[in-house]
Amino acid sequence: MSDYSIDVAAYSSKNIIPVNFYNKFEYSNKDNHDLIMQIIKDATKDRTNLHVLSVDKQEYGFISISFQCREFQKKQPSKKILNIDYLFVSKPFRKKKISAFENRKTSEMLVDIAISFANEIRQYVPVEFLAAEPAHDRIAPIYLNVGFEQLINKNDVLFLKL
Amino acid sequence: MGYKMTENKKVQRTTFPKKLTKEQIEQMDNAKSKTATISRAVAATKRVKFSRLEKSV
Repeated sequence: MSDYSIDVAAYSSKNIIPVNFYNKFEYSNKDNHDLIMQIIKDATKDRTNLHVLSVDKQEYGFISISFQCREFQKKQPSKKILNIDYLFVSKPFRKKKISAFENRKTSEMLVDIAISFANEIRQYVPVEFLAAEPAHDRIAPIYLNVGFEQLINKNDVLFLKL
Repeated sequence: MGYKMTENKKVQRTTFPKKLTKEQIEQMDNAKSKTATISRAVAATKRVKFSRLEKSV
């Protein structure tokens, strides 16, 4: 058994300081800073919640999660969906298998955290689905490999029945 | 349900579709719970300490 301390800290309007949050991570030139700042700004307005994954106090990445309720058919119960809005891995940890995560990648660990989190929330809110719309095609396999399905005729929308 | 860049390089927030076709609704209704996936994810995160209101410093 390893001695790593793995933590997930939640950030919302109650505790987020945008500049401090942004500076927790390292970025590459290709990262879209406007997009990340928009996510942080949305967290300050509780439009999304951010969950930071860290190992021994070092931040590895975060996921952005929000809740949506959709009524697709009249007289039918609405569908309650937990959305993974964004998944970000800090530059030094991209594409690397991390020993603290039993040699899994940070992105895979973040998806596991979202699934585990959704499963826990179901005790309080009848969430039925975890959904994602990956910003890049290269991220989709992370979700598909763990059992997410592509929505028919809208393949960029992925969902997992909980 | 995500963040994307538009062609004119503006950040756009997308949400889960508000309307679905009958076929898509049936797909969601008939989807089976991925209990194996959930169990594996829960096992993978069993050593993770979740803290809900950590102060941002």
